Amino acid sequence: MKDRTHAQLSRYGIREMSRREFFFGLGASVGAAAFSSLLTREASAAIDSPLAAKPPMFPAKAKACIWLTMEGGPSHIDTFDPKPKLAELHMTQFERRGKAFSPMAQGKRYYVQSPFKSRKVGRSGADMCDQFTHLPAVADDICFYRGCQGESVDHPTALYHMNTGAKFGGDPAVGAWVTYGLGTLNENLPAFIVLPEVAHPQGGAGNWSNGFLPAHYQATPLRSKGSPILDLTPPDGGNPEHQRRGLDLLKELNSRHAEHRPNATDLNARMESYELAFRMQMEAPDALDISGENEKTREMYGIGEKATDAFGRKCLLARRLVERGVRFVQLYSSGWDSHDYLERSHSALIHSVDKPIAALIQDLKRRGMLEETLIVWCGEFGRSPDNGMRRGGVAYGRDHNPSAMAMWLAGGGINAGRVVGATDEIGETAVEAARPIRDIHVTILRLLGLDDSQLTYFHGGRYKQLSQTGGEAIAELIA
Amino acid sequence: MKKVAAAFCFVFMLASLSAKDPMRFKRDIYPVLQAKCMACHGADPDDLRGGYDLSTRARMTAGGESGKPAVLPGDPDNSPLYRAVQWQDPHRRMPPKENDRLTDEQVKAIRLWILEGAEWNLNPPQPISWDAPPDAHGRKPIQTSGGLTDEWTYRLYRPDDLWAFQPLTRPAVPQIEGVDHPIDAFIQRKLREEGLETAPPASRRDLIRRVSYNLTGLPPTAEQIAAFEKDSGDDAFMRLVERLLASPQYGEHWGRRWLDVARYADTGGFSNDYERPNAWRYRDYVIRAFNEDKPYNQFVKEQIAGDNLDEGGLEPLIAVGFLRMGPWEQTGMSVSAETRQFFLDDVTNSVGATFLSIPLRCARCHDHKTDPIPTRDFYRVQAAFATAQFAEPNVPFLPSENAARFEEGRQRIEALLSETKAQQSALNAKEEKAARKWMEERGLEYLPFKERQKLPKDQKPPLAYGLTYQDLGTRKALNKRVRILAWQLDRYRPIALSVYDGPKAPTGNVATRIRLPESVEGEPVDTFILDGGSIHSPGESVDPGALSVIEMAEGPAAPIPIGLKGRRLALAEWIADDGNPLAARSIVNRVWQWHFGRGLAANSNNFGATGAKPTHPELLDWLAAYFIDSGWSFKELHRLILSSETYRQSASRPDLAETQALDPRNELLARFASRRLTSEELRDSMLQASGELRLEIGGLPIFPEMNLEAALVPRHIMGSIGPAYQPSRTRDERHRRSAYAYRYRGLSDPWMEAFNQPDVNEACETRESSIVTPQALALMNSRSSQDRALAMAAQIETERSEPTGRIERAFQRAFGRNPTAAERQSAERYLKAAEKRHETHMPTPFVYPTSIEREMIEEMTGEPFIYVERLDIYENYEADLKPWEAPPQTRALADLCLLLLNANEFIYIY
Repeated sequence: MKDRTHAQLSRYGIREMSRREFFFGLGASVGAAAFSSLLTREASAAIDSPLAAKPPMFPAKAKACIWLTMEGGPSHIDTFDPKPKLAELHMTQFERRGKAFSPMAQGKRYYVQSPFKSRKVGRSGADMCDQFTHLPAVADDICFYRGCQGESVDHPTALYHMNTGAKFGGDPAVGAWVTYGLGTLNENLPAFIVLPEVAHPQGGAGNWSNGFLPAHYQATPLRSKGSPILDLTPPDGGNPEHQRRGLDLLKELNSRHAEHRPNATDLNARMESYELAFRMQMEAPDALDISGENEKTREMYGIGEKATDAFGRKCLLARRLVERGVRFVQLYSSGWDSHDYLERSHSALIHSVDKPIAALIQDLKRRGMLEETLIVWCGEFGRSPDNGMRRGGVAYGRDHNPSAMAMWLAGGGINAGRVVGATDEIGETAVEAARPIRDIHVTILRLLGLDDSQLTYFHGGRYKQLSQTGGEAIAELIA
Repeated sequence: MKKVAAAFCFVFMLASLSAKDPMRFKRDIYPVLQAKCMACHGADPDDLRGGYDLSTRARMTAGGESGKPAVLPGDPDNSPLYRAVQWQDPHRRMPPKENDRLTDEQVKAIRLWILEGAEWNLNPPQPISWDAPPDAHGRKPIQTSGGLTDEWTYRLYRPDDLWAFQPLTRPAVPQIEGVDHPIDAFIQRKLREEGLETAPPASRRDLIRRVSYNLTGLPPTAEQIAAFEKDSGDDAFMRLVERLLASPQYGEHWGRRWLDVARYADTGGFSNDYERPNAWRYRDYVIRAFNEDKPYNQFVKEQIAGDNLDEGGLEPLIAVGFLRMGPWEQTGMSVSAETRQFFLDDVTNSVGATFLSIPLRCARCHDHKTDPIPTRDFYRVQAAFATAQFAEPNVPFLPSENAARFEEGRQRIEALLSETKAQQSALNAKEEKAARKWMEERGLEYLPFKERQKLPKDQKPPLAYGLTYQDLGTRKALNKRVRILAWQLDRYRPIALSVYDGPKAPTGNVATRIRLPESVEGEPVDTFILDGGSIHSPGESVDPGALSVIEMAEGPAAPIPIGLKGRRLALAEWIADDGNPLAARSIVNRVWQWHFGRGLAANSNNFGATGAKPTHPELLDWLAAYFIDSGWSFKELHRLILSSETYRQSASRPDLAETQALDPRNELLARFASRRLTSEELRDSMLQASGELRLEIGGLPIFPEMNLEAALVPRHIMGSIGPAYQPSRTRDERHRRSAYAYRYRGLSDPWMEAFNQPDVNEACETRESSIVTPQALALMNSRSSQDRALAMAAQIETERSEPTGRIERAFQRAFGRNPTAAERQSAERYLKAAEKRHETHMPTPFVYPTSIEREMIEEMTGEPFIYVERLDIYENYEADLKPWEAPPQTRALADLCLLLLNANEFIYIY
């Protein structure tokens, strides 16, 4: 056990021991094959920093991931999974009781039809509601999935589950696992970046935590207002020359201190982190400054239009970050929790993301980056075919439904132009290709060249993995 | 020679063949096939990977699609199945997941079984004696309350995987010449076996810094260091230890460590992250317990069953708040049976991990994969908590509790509450005005809101009539704010977060205080083994019990009653019994870890087979016995450990490189382990260096300044946003120790988080100290760091009048020493350049905001709306000294101070 831990630490460059110690730590119980694969990795990657780029575990097209989270639970029925049957049942009343149901789902219920029309789009003929006017242009680049099933009816637990594989928070987020597995291509920028709404989602930063993984893999949330990275510069903006002078004195003090001290690796790493911070201070503002993009591009993302400006900026920023070697970018769009006023609120939300997302896919494509980027679109759960009609029957919406949801993938390695899985005739539960969230996680890792069962971290006496106890990739989603 | 060896091998093979073990298949092989293979090869006859089926012997031997036999009885080395589990061929590794890979022992067992003929006997005679001698590999069955299957019940364990469950031994102290101290004797015996010896003693300077941080979390002052360097008396070090143990800062620091394990936070987490009324009383109870040296066995009983205790006055009612420290929430949307079960699962696991170093969660859905913990035991322990019901009763404040600032705090919240209610009423009035108009226009008689609800639809205006989306969003935010403020008023009531023994209690929404019911009598709730851990699949019912694997040294402790009352007390008494080997080993190991940075067993929350084995098992047992004999006293244990040479040795040694190569993790303790300061130590040390630290003890949590952007990020809570994080108004509050800082589950202080302050949802096993760039950014650039540096500079200017003296003083305050000549020179040069910059560069004043605009997406409309929250604290804020209030000279000195606070010398302890 000990030997595996040593190997694990070394593989990811965790500075716990020197290279020499690493060889010492390899005992007889590591098989010859494992040993030589370690050597190959060492040689090919020359791992020094825990964030250094690491080769994937098997060949993969996608090198980076952009994850579009529609927080609140977008309705599958009113986006990509139309249910004509509900038009027949519209306003049919029924009663549901039972200890196993959330109070939200109990009592007098009414089936409700979609307020939107749906139509077939693209050569693939995927279903899409008529509120999407830009996304149809890229429908053939998308693989729609209707089989994903969650477990939780509450927002934070469902969102934690989708983001970290565990319902109770505190476990590493998908982005942390991916950067742990692949490192980053640009160490002057954070490897895992989150673009939240101004308001953080329910459950807060636990949604992008590094959990038990070393802190190198934690996300950096960029703020949509104010300074994008916390404390990137001193409060008064700083002066590079003065800062350099300070860093030089600090280096002098630290070198003298290190002379007689035993923990040289840590001391040097700490000093180097100041230099890296200094470089980040130089590079990050450029990456985050979208003013250099031409007017046409900005217009394409909907920047400058009231409805799409905020999400458009995020999408454009995501492209710029991935372009510069950032491994994992997660974007949030909030407010999809339409218990009431489904028509108005879903319509507004769809309009706010439709154009920016279509632009992101097109922009990546024309730059030849789409094949190398995986895009994931999902919420934390889908919505119910029925409603409690809180607004006296005029402004219906839908409640939470983890048994069915809308999700799609685009980009590198996915089965583009396909619709995979199906829900029942009213959209209450997935009935075809129905798979748990952990299988989606395994699939996403696979698309990025990582094997969930090999991407493990020894913690608290157990090898842990994103899928918790193992899962299976959803073959139909993969090209 | 070769011939002899071959002949010997042959004889050995015959011997092992003749000793064919009839249990082997059922005990060693079948469970492995079931757990590791059958999911893909047998569980579903319609879905067999590679067409290979392991469900019968015939199919198993026949093989799959390849058409070749998979098992050749008697010939393991040519059997594809054996080769696959060996992972010999990179294309045929089974099971494919590294996580599932068979252990060497399982692979060996498969080899032996095929060699013996690959028999398939699921009904062998059961083992008759639990005391049967171990098998050829030294493995033995072990008796428990019984697993869900016979395979599990009769499986064999390697004795060294069971070390933690064995009775405590009282090993003799090794006799080593010239070594008097028992700890040194155990440590040196092992060092000598490796040809090593203890490092030379640490310097006086390193030693006082090490022990001061270790016991109090604070550095010694330059003056204290100098005095200790001069004091050559034999007992100087132990006098220092006594002074530190007697200081209240000891309890704050060691209490904070316990709170890491207990998962202390001031809020409940999840959707609403509501405040937990007076969770701080539990925090202060823990701090007092350490300062008073409360015997650990008593400490255990009070935290698990304080409400069951007749003695100890009211304090144990606060102590039992431990059981409620985990994240938990019940909303209007949760299924209450599920949230109740979540609590029970969580508390069962955390009691195991905290007090026994056995996380019980692993046995929730199935019998434990590696440890002798059947699922039955998980639910037996859980049954001890099945009668524990939540309550937040009034427990009058104790004389030892700090009730300062209650009055001003209450007045503030009351004012905010009435202000918010007035805003609420204004919006309601607006709706009513519109409603009146609507009704009058239709010739209907106006009825107030409640009364008109019974009218038919066409005779009343729709809900929220006359309100804009902006109004609707604002009203929702105000409604939530009223609820949150009402909660906060509970801070000033003598509420304790507690439990009582009672029958099933209605679990309402967590948004209201849970009061003690009038009657706490009734039938206890039954506890069932839940199939797969699901409340929807109850199986066999179980009575409360303890871990059945533990044989108590003095015979079994009293059984746990099956009635409503006293279950937890009986469990706590079992845990804290002198004869229970787990509890004493667990805490002694933690204390060792908190002194040396690493436990004798390195996974202090997991003593099971998958946790790290103790490096010095005899020392661990000897210490556990010593701890029990000295009345479970922490302070006695500290004295013993601190007085050892092992503790007082240097962190370095002349042959450092060789020693590190031989023992990279310093398991042998051939030197003291250096470490980085924890987030709390770092913040407290900066406050001490700047002269701002206030050593007030206990009471209401404080709110240090947090990066303003992080503090003002709207936190999405159910249907609204949480209130903005505002720092405490006065310096005296803000500059208190970090142990007293308010801990939100849903909002962490990015500065503290950068320095590895752990997540509060899991019991923290050990503090990490990874080195990441945000640390450099936080420590160099954040306002809080810069404020400390400026305060330090201003303080130094009151102490010394000329530049050289000031530089000297800065080094003293940061490092506890004077600068060397070279350092002085460099610092002078830097200071001059800095002064020059500051003379021409005026910092821009910054004004704390007194209100904040919240832009939110209104869920009903999908439209953004703006909600303006008043930040009342900043209206009358006692700010720290700011750069624009200080002359260039002070600002330049502050720049130097900031560099010192960033230096490795400030941040590492040796």
